[in-house]
Amino acid sequence: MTTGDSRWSLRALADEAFCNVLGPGSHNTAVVLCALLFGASLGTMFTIDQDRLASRREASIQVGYNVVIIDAVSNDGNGGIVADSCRHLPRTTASGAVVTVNANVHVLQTGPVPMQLTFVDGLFRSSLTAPIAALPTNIVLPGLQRVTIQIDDSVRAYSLAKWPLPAPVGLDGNVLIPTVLPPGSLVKRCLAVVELKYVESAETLNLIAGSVRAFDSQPDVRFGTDGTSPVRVASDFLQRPQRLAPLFVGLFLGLLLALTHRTRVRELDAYRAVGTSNTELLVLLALENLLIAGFLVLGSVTPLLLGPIVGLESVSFSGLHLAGAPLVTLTAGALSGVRRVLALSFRVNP
Amino acid sequence: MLITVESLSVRYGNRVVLDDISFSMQSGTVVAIVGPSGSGKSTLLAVVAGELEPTAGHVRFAEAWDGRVSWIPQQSRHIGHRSTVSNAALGALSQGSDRADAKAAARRALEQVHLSEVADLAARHLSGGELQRLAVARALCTGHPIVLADEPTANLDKASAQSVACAMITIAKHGRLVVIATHDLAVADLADQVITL
Repeated sequence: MTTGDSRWSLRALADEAFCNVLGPGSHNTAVVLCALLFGASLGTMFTIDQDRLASRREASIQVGYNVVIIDAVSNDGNGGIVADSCRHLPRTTASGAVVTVNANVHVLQTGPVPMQLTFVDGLFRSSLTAPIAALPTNIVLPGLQRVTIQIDDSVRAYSLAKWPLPAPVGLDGNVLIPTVLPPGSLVKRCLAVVELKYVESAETLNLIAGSVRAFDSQPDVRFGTDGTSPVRVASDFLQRPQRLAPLFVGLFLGLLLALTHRTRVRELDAYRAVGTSNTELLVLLALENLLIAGFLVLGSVTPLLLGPIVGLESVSFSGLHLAGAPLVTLTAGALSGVRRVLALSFRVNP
Repeated sequence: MLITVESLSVRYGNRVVLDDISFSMQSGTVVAIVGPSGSGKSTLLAVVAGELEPTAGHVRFAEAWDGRVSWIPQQSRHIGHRSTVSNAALGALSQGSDRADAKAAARRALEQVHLSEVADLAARHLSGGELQRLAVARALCTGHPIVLADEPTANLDKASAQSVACAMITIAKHGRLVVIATHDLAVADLADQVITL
């Protein structure tokens, strides 16, 4: 027998919450199962959704949606951009000047062919260790891996491969030749590969424009995929109806919790009958809600973790978003709990 | 503990439920409040529990007290899927006991109300009389000096009612004040003090 004015210990309340949520035959069993089921559905939906988004973004990267073209614009066609100033532009992973010239080259395997040769300065120096040829399809032989091209008196072997770069946006030539332009060289075009996280920032183009030096001309800075629909992760997400799914799941579970609280009046009264205060009862309900929200998180996260195993890519953004459902559940459950606890008192029947 | 009720009145609008009532109650006794339905028995309990403010008058406690009471309602309040002993242990847990001590105290209390045989049975399987005795055992496990019971034998047969009433007396023997609102005169006969409304 105990005496005195002691209170529930937090550990005892946590034990009670655990028993009330996970005990066999508990009123909360249905809520826990729903939390797991809805969480898993939510997680699966977002994993698939994010995988599609990642694929679209990858495809956009392949066509160069993060490539910025900087052209020198002048009324008389003179002037240009100082090639040196195109190196190391802000918010980019690579940048540099490009110079395209028309030439009549001799592909030894097929014969003479008019081609455009693109000399790249700085831009691809780290990723391009050898010149690359992207030949027109009508002269590519099946199974041909390398071609030998004679330009003027120079004969060189070129790898014949897909462009290993973000995209051939802004590169009009068939053959890429790394080069270092003399200091102070003026060019008509520079290219920059923008870091993905800055693609959606409006300031990016202004920063790049402010960093290049133009002579007798104005730099025209634009993304190379105008007219296409590049993936904007955040803005695309906010436009999709799926964004509301966590809210609805959270509200549904919150409603289920509220209904459960109603059916548990006798249980909650049992706590009140031993002198449990409103605060202690609220803590108990909050711990129960926290456990249930935990199952929602568990259900949500499992597909995200298992996704890569079955070849689905998931990104952290979905994980952050999924946190919304448990938060809504907790809020709705807490509101219901407060209402229920405040309604509990010794019933007076005058 | 001595509790003194002085000139207590409660009104709901124009309706007078309790009118200028005065009496005192002493720890270690069973006090029966009797009267017909609507006479204000439950209201009086609510005032003593501090759940209801009287319109006039006071309830004075001779000793400092944390305001908590044990409550035995007419309809049993229990957690159906938990065992009888777990339900009884709530009383001790609410006092800060750890789970092992609380269960030991609960088993002792269940023994006193003759429920040892069903200690490990889920509470939803107990009969009405057993549930009321469970409520008594739960109250035994708390250390609260005041135990309030609102018609605890109303839905029970004579034998069960007698058993519950005896269990109430057991609580009083532990030095606590037991206040029972009842219209069961058999229960009132067992009380140390009867207040008629």
